[in-house]
Amino acid sequence: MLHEIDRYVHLNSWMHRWRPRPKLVGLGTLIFAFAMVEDLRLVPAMLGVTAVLYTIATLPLSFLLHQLRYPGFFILGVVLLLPLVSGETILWQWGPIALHSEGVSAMVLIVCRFFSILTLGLIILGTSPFSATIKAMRSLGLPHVLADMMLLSYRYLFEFAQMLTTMQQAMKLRGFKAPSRLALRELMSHLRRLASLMGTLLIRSYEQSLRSYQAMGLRGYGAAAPHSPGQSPPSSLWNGSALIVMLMVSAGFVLSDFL
Amino acid sequence: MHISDGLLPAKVCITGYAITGGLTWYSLRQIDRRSTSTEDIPKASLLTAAFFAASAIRFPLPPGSLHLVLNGALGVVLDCYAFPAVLVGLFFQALVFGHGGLTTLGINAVIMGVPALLASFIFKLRRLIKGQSSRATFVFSFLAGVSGVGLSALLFFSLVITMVPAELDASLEQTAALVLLLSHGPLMLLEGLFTAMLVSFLARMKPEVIPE
Amino acid sequence: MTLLSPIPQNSAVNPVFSPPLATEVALSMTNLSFVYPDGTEVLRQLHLSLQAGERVGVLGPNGAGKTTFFKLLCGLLRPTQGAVTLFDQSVAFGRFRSDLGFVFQNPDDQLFSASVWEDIAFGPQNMGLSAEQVEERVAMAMALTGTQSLAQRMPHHLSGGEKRMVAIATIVAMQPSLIIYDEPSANLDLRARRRLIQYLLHSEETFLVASHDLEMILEVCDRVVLLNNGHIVVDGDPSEIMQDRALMESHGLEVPYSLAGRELKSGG
Repeated sequence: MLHEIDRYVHLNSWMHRWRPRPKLVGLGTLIFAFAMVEDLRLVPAMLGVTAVLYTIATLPLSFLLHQLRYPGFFILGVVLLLPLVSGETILWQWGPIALHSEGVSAMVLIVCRFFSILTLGLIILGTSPFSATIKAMRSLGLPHVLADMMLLSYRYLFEFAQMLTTMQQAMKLRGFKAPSRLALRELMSHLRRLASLMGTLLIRSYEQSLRSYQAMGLRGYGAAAPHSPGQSPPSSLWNGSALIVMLMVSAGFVLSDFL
Repeated sequence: MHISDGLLPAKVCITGYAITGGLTWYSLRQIDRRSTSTEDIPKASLLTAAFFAASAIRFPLPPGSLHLVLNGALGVVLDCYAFPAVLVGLFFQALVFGHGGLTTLGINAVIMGVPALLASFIFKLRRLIKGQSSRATFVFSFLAGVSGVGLSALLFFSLVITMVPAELDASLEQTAALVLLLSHGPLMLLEGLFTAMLVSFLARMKPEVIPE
Repeated sequence: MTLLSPIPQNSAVNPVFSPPLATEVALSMTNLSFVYPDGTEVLRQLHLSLQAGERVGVLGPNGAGKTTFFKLLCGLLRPTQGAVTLFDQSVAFGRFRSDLGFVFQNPDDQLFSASVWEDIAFGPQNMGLSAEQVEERVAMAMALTGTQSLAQRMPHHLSGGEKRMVAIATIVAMQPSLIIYDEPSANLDLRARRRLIQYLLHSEETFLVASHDLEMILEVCDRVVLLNNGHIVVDGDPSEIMQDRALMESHGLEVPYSLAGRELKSGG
């Protein structure tokens, strides 16, 4: 399901109450600090911090597992070969197959970094409404064209996905199916139909955009008045100190990795 | 062809973001020069959403099926919005499907977006041909589709092979890159044909979707 | 101005006045239930049987489960429990049946080709018919729906009423024995709606039609089922059911204007 990401934004944890802007800065810095981890000894600390933050966010474990499923398979497919092909020190050998210790550590490092970064990303996006996160990005200097594009396309993403599914169902009900064998003519006619399908989707979305633009224009979009800077609510002790803690943790990781 | 979080060294991720920043700045400057930019933003956004939705279309290649990359087509249709569109699309992909990643967003945007810009450039070359027949549209969008996915595959595989396993020897790397690239020949052809059919369809049904 | 040609009136056989002769069962379902993976129960133990030639209206407020019901009948969804049988063959999930047609609520979901002709030919082509047979089918479908003059037009450029008739033609070209119409009169102007009603009155297939346009149901259907909260509340004669003010209002519906007058007369 496409809607999963903001399924738990209504919960009320410390993480949910942390305002999007400091949250974005704090966790975003930590994400990059994690991406820089090269030392295997830091991995337990990285996993620990991730686990603590996820617990604070009170997001259910099933949410994490669901989001991990697809990318998890992907990354495993990429890194499972590493112990076999990369490195010189042989850990274990069976005929032509040898496990190399450098490969194993590279694999552990990659998988743990991936897991931690993905989890932090989920915490950022899963604990504030999407539009609030984009507004926070905008206040941090994201160009308005990008912010507008993100909000508008996010708004229509689910609608178009649904539109496509319905159109595909309608085609299926008129007997459209994948060719069962590799015959060039059938494949080409199938490809042409798919091109018409996608072309129709693009035209429908284009027409929708004209209507949306007119409707937005009637409500003042694009008029000379610049985006109002938006009053930031007084920062509470919790918002500020949480940010400082995150920055310190991030710095800790980067420094220990250097040492 | 997306690189996941955790796979690349931080330096590469940051370099990716830097290049992406530069290309975004370049694209935004071009957008600002247009007189119709407020009108274009909803169009570009909704087309981005539609491209994103369409990436779920699978092409059957018995016994399996494959997803089309579509970045050449995206370059043709979205013109100077192509790079921001790729960036936004990849951001959602990382967010909704966990496909790609947040730290690798920059580098993935380079892998997908630079070829999209190239495709958009190639498609614009059709103006050099007098009359702009429907055949020219077909041929140039075919080339745009082929080069879009071709360059993406080249960037992706060279990056993965040089960055990921630290201790592979150079000649093996080169052979692997070549094999992977050649195996993408049929995919490039398919992508080219699909792009040509799609753009021809749009040119016939709704010419205003395609930049002049 | 409309470009649609008049719908041929078949004077020899006028199904409006012909009593249902056939006794063949067109569609039947037992214990049909559907529950979404998250536990939301949409349909509960539906039992329904349609004779060939029957025209059945499906009433119900928004969210009553009509579209889910139709998607189950077409095999687009897999029932949680129960099964659907269409002309003695059970409907398998995901399996295409050319004897069953589904006209979607929004014609834009159905029309995707570069010309009306191509779109109508799409179904027959997928059925593996020869080029001549496809031509014949398309010509027949266009004649029945009065869309001949639109053959080379682009579906996107048609008016709402034209799109609706073309969407119907794309289904009719497959010569299904049973057609399901989901809100066919939605967004049609008076003339296009009248045209649709004329078409439905003269069509020969068994059909199911869901609509909030109760006047149309009254005109074209000889049987009505009322669906609400996932089960069939009542099944019977259209005017009898729709005259029952208490029944209609308790399910979020109104007595149609033409019957409200009759109700007053008979009451007072």
